[in-house]
Amino acid sequence: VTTGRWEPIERSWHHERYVHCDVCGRLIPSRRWAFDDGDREITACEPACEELYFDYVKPTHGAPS
Amino acid sequence: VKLELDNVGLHVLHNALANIAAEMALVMMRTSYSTIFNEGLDFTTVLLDPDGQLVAEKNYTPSMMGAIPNTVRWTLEELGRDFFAPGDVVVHNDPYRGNCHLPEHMMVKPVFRDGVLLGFAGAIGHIAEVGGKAPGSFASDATEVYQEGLRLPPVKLIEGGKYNEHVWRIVLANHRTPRNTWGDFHAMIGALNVGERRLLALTDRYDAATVLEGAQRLIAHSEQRMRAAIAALPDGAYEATTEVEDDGVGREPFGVRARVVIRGDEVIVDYTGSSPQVRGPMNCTYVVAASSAYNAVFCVTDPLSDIPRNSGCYRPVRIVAPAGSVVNVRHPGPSVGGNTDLQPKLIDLLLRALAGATPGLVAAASGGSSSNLLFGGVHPETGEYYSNYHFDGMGAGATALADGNDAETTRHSNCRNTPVEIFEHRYPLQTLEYRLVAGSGGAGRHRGGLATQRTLRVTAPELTISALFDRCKIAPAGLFGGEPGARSALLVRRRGEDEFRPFDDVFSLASPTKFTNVVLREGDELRYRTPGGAGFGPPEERDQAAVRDDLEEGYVT
Repeated sequence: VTTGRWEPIERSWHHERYVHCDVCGRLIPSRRWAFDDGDREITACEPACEELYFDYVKPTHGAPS
Repeated sequence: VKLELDNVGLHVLHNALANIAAEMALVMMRTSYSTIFNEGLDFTTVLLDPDGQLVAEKNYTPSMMGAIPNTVRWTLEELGRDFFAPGDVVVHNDPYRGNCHLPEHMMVKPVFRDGVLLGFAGAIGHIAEVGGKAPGSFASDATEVYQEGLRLPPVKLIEGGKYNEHVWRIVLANHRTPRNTWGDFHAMIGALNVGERRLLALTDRYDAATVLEGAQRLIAHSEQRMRAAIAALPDGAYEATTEVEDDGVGREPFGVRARVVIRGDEVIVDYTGSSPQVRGPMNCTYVVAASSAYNAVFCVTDPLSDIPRNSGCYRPVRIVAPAGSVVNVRHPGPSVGGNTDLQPKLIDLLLRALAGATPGLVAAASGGSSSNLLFGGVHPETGEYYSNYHFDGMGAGATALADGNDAETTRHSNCRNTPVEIFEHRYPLQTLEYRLVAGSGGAGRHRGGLATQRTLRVTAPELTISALFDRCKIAPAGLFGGEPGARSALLVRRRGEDEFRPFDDVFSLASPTKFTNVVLREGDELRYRTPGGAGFGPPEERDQAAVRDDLEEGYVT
C-alpha cells in the first residue's frame, strides 16, 4: 500500500535540473512520487520505490540524511 | 490471418518480433561506416510498445540494457507522447537523462497505423567520435561531462520524414569525423525504417490489436518466468566488495560494495557503501549500475537466454544505487569510462556475491577492462581526419564447468574483435603481432581465458592516442581457490629505442593506462596487452590431461 502522490518537477526547456530518486537513485524526468516518512518528505521515481523504501532501504540503511 | 494468443501463437509472435529486431541489426551492421558498428557490433536494436516498454530486441551489447528503457522513458516523460509524429526520428545521448554514457546514441522512431501509435522502433549504438577534448571521445582525464563530447537531450533528427537540418549541423560541426557520423546515423535510421516497415507488415498480417495484446502477454510471460527462476535461488543477502585501481585523474584506488538480496521471486541489487563519485571518468550512471545488475542476475537465472528478453525480465530486479557515488554519478561528473571499465567489474562483483547463492552458475573475474584505445589524426593517404575507438578481447573468467574463453570482449560488451586487415586498411598503424598471451589465464580447476596482445607501428607522421583501461595494477580475482588473471599493460617504444616502456614513464603521466592526447610519431611502436581471466577452483584439482593440453598448445609456459 502506498501513500504518496505524484508531483511535477519544475523544469523548463531553458533550465536544466537534475533530481535523483532518494530511494533507488534513478534520475527523475518530469514528475516525482512524493511520500512521507514521519515529518520527512521523500522524493521517489515511482510508487514501487515507496514500498522498497519501507520494506528494504530504511530497515537496512536507515532514513536518508 | 487469425493469431490465437495461446502458447503457440505467442511463440510465433515472439519470433516474428525478435526477427524484426534482428533484421534491423543486420541493416546497421551492413550499412554503417565505423568499424565499431560493422566489425565490433557495438549496438542493439529493439521494438518498444507505446509506453516505451521493451517488447523485443537484438541485443549485441548487454551494456545497453539499462539505457534503452530509461532513455525512452525519459523522452516520453519530458516531451510527452504527443511530441511524436509520423516520420520522426528522435536522438538522445544525455547521461543525465537516462543514458549510459555520452558516446551511446539512442534513436527511436514512432510507428503509427491509421493515426494510432503502435510503438517504437529503436536503435542504440556507440558513435565512435562525438567531440570533446580527445579524439575518440574518451578523455581519461575528464573531470566533467562537458569535456566528454556533445550532449544531446532528446531532439528530432528527422521531422515528418525530413532532415531537421539545424540539429544535423550542430552535430556534424562538433564531431571530429562528421562523415562517419553521417554514415552511422543513417545506418541507425535505416534500421528504424526497416523496423517500422516490418512492424506495419506484421500488423497487416495479424491485426494491430492482437499484436499489441500479444506483446503485453509476452512481457507478462517473461516476468513470470524470471520470477520463477529467481524463486528457485536460495533466499539470503550475499555481499562482495572490489577495488578499482584509479580514476584516470588521481592515483588512488576506490572501492565498490554490492549486496544482493534474494527474497522470494525478486532480487535487490544494492550498491550502498560504494565509494563517493570520483573526479575522473570512471563513474557509472544509474543505468550502467542497472545494466550490470541485469547482466549478473540473468547469468544465473537464465544462462541459456531461454526467456524472451523484454521488459518483463527486468521487473523483478530492483536497484539501489546511491546518487553521488561511483555507481551513480551526479551532474556534472564524467562517466565515459564507467560504462566500459567499471561496468565489467560490477558484473564480476555481483557474480562473486551470487557465488554464495549459486556457486555452480557464476564465474571468476574476467579481465574486466574494455581496454579502450582511441586514436586519430590526418591520414597520410587521404589527407582526411580519421578517428577510431578500439577495444579488444581479453581473458574471460573460468566457471564451474569450463575454462574461460580466450580473446573475448567484456561481459557487458559482447562485441567482436577487429581483424588486422580492417585495422591496417583504415588506419595508419601496421600490425607487427596479434596473439594470445601464454600464461595470462589464472590457474585453477578451470583456467582463466587468455589475454591478447597487439604490437602496432605508427606509419603516419604523427598520431594522437588516448587510452582508458585498467587491471594494470589490480589483477582479476580468482574464485573458490582459483588464481588471478594476468594484469594488463600498455607500453611504447619510441623510434630508435630498444625497449618498450610504460606510457607514464615515457610521457610523465598520472596513470600508465589512462591518459589523453599523447602524440606518437612515425616509427613509434605501441604494445597493447589486455588482462587475462581468473581461475575457478584450486589449481591442484585441474585434470592432468588438461594440463598437458595447455602445455602442448602453448596456453601456459
